[in-house]
Amino acid sequence: MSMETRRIRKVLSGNHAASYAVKLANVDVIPIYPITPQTTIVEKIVDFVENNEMKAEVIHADSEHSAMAAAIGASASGARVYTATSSHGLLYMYEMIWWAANARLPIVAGFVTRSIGPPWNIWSDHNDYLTLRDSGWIMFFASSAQEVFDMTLQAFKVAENPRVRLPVGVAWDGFQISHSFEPVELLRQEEVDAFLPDPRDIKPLLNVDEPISIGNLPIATDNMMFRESIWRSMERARDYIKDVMNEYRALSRRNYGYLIEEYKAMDAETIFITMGAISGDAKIAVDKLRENGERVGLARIRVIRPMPVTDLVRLGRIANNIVVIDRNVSMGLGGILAREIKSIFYDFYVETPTYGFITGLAGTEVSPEDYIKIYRMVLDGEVEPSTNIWYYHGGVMK
Amino acid sequence: MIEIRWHGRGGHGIVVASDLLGEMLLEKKLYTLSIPVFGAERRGAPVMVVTRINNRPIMKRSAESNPDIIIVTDRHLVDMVDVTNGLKKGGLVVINTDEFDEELSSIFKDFKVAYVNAVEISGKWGLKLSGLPLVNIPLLGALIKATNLVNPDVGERVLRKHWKGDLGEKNASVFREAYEVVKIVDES
Repeated sequence: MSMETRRIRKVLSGNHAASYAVKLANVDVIPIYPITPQTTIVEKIVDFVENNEMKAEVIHADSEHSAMAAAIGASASGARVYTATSSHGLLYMYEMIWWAANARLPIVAGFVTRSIGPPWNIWSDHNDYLTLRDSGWIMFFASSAQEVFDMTLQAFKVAENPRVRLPVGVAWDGFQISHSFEPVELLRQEEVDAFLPDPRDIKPLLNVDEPISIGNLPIATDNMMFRESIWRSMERARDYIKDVMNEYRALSRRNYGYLIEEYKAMDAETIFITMGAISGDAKIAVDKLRENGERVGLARIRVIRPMPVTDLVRLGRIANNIVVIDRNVSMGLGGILAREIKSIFYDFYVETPTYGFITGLAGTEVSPEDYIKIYRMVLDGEVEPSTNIWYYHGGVMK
Repeated sequence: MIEIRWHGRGGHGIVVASDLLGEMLLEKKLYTLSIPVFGAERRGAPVMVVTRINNRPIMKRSAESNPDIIIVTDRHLVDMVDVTNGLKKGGLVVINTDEFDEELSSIFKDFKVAYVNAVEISGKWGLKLSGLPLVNIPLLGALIKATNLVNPDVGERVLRKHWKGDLGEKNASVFREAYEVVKIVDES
């Protein structure tokens, strides 16, 4: 075959992998406001537009709140829309985050996780992104630059499905993914065009020939019915996301699993549950422990909303111990993933001891040796099942 | 897996140099991962990059490292940062210095050292940023000579592709000159 049928491989950062996906998805409108570590996504997109490699309207907003407001307006008029932010930018955008979901707008956004100050910190933890979890956004979480590229393309297809019609967030860790460079294989333009729907086929919310008003005051029961319709779409999305990921897997020949990625979990007695960039180090720990005959495995959460309930219950039934690694904390309760997983286990009568470790906050390291230490603490009975075991790099319990 | 740890200061261009090394190794179908580590986002502050090279996908993203190679962009960094921390026995040090004096010789006594006057080379070819000679690309040339990681012709081609025109020529020239003049001493 000729050269044009070959896919391009480039050394890209996680952020630039997102920029290339946005370019190939032929996004129409990109409202932006800069914040570290997100900024290089939109810088690259602006390069594409300025060099005429991409035809899109870039709106330089005066804040993240305005950026999402512009995204809402553009999406309501039928445009394909992308924006991105981090940390304080996400919090400043937060009112409009809910507006986008409640108005059923298929916006796709990149969220590069960064801890929230003060004290000032540009490094990753997941509390910023996890503020979306009750809002009606579908939430993906990537763990490599390649997966950022792949998930961003999948996000448009999921968001725009008429039976879903919800905004989709794709998150990845600041610096560990966003500014780390690695080889990424891009799909060809024809492949992306065939994979994604034509945005012109989507019926826009705003149409001058059929004027409606959005966000008016309905009676309370109707208002509650809107919420329930979002709930039902989110439930339907669980299967549809799997379909989209399956189709993409056949196209790309890359396999990450679906809502979760399992690594040597099938026969494991102890299963780590992780999310994001720190999952790779956990896989190395799994390999090292298995060399010593330990039956240990890993499940990496790729989709947080809708929550992968069935997968988690199945893993809970396989294992003797579940060890959840939370790079976040809900103050006054515990690690968010551990708390949610425990509540799911309760629904399904899963009584497997579940240990929640809070670690990696503010960008602190979580190395393979840390996972091995955590594993030993659980197996040697040094800790009780709880969702708030604070663990610092190197094994220090402060 | 080969691990390289770059020690520099904000503005020295070690992030760019590490990314370009990944680009050079792409043709060999190797997996690379280049992880930047810095405190303040400020010019002049000590910064670090960890480059991992492997023939399989790289899972490790924590910055903790036991490098095979360290690269030091400024000899005064050795007074501020424990640059050889975790460096494997008999490992390689690539350093920008005008002379390999007794102090450096004693600090690096257990290692192989490749040294080059990167400031002089970049200054000669006019490769400067804000008036200061860029030391990243000469050090990349010195690294390639000391390790044979890639053919230097591939290195020059990647630099000419990354920076078009005159800037590409300047980068390729300092890369080639450093490759040719780097001195290697084995202290281990």
